[in-house]
Amino acid sequence: MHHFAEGGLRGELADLIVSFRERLAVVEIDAAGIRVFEVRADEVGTARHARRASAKWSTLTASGDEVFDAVLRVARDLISADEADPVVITRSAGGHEQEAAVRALRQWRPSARLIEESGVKVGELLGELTAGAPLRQTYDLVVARERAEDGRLELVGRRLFGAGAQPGDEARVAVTCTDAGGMVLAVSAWSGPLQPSGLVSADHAPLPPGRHVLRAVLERPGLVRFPEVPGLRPDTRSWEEVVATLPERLPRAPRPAHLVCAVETAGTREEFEARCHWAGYVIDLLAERCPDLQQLKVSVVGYGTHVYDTRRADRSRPSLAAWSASTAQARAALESLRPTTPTYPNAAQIEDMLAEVRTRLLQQPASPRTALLTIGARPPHPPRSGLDRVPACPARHDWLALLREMEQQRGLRSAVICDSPPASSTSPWRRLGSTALFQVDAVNAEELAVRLGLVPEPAGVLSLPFVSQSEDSGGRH
Amino acid sequence: MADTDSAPGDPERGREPDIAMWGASGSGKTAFLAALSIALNKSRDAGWRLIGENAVSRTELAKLRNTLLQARTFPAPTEALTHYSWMIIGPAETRRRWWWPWTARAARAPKIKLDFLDLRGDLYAESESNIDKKALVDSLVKSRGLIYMFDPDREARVGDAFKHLDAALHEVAGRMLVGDEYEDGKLPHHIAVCITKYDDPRVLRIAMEGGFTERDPTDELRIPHVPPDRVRDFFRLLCQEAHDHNTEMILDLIEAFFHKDRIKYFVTSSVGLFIDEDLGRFDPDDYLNVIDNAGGGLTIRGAIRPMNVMEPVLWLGQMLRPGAIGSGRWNG
Repeated sequence: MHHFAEGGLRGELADLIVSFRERLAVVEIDAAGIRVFEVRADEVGTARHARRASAKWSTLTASGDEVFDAVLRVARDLISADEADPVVITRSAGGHEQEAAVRALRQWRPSARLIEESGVKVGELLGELTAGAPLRQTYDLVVARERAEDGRLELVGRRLFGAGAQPGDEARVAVTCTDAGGMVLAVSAWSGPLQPSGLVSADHAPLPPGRHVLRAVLERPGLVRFPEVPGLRPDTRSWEEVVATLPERLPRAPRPAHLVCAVETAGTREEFEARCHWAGYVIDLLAERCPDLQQLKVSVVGYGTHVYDTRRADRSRPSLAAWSASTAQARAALESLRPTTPTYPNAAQIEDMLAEVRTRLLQQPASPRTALLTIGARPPHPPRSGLDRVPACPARHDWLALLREMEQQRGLRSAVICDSPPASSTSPWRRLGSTALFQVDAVNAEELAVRLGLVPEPAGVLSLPFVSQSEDSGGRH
Repeated sequence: MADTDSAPGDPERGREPDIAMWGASGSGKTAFLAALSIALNKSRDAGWRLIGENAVSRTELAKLRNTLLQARTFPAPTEALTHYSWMIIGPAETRRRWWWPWTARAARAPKIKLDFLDLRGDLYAESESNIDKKALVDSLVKSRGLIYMFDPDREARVGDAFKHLDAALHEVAGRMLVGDEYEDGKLPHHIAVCITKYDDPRVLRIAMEGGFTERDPTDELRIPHVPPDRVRDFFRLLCQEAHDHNTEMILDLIEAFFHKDRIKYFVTSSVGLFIDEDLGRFDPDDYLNVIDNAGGGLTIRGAIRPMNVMEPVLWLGQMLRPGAIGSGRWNG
């Protein structure tokens, strides 16, 4: 029989609550009867106790059993046989039943520790001890950060409390709220360095967008409070639902952008006006979406068809109505274009337009976003006459070489809106429309602007705290 | 052809044609004729003219020239049989008698009568007899010189030349070779086989990539041409490139019906290749002289420079009237 002078039952149980692995059994024996308690750790490491059995001596023997046999049966049913799971017996009274019970328990688990102590209610003591126990696992706040290599968002943990932290401990963490609707403060526990073991809590914090330094208090294992966040309330969604709403990337801050609208003027008035309509629509869309119009430049180029029945080669150039202008100026320039009579049916001066745009673009400092939107009916002239009987560009401009050069040197994205579908899979329209290709009667201007990189992709809002790379001092995936 | 009804007002009814033109519809016969008139005018050897033998033919010739030179397009395809008679008249050559050299004989201009029947391309191959077909075969039988137009572009797309040629030759042979007049079993004609549309990119590309072209060092425009001794091989290659396998047999068919020494092959173009006047010479990247126009038709883009249009006619003339056309420079 063991006796513990130092700390007694309280001290013994406090130590065991920190150190037990799977299960801790505590058997309370007093004058009236016997009670069996069990302490287990939940998935996030929080120790939780429960009374598994309670019986008076008279009840145990009511069916004619001896106390010994009855207690042994209860022990077999409720107490682990594994020697790694500690068993504590507390006895506050002596007598035949009590002695028989202890013998039965020690027969089942010879290593069980017996503590003689009176005046202690074991259930209350276990509740008090588990609430005041240090953390068995570390607790992190779940935050999002941008991956350095590609800017995609990933979830990581920012340490709040390490294993062994005591109730009442405090932690501070700096995060940014990116959504006007606030953010979810999710605390995750980690049993080891690689995998989170589970979510301790998830609460919605109605904080305004911006940087916040959060003070977290470990109330007890399994309960972290953020006392300075008013209106904190539990987020009732499942964690999978929360994660599903997260965007792949954070919306980009506006960067300088340059859209070149090239409009074929050759055709009927109706054809010409339909092309101008979409050019104007896209310009208006960008103006509406761009938070800083100073960052957006628009150029407008009108081009027609070559003339081939003159004695000398046609050296006419496309009409540059506006270059790197404001959206308002570009709109006015678009209005200044006039329809022209087609002088050749099967191709237009796209290659001359590309040469003009290239010359001007390369004179400018590199811009991170340059987009070309060509709207017309006829493909470009080739640099050399081919079997398709389309005569060569009089200036021998090579539309494909010009396009490639701008793509490589200026990161140009090229999209087209055609009057009618391209005649074949090898049509130059396919290459010119490599970013997006629409027909004039079915244009999704929103998608067009997104594909050209001029407006951000519609994305979900980030409802978790964000940490920037500069703020991020590490963390766990 | 004077006994047909197709040449109203012909003052020389009863006279047989020297040359008959022959080829599928769309093979470029009318363009060839219009170009012939222009080529004769442009020739530095002045004096050759193409004139209509009657009012209808004269009017038609003026229309054809206008179409090419003013409207800068091509005559509309023939819908029905049309029969015209033209005459090519050369410069009069004054002759002195060796025994009386101080007086000259009266000048006499060489004349070549050209009979031209333009008709639907499928007429030759029609099995049933009809008046148009009879007129055509009459023309071929009565003439002694033939201009056969072979359109490689049409052959690459449609491929019906063999069918037409085979049917027509058998008709003519049936009329001419059943008797004893031609004991050698060959038709008596001289035949100029004209490969048309040399300006077409398909045709020119085959010529250039096949190594058939040369440059004439005296030609400032540096236009590639197929030398006479290579034209027959070029023709054979074009026949092999055709849509219809039977086209490959055309050359053998011609040589089976005509004496080999009476066949000559020409590479022709009614309008020639485009020359950029700023460049002043042939540009292999930009030689299209016939392009689509905004009205849905064809437009002749640059200057009209007929190639080998006059040469087949004058070669035939020389073969048929060796005494009248003495110049050896028309030997091709």
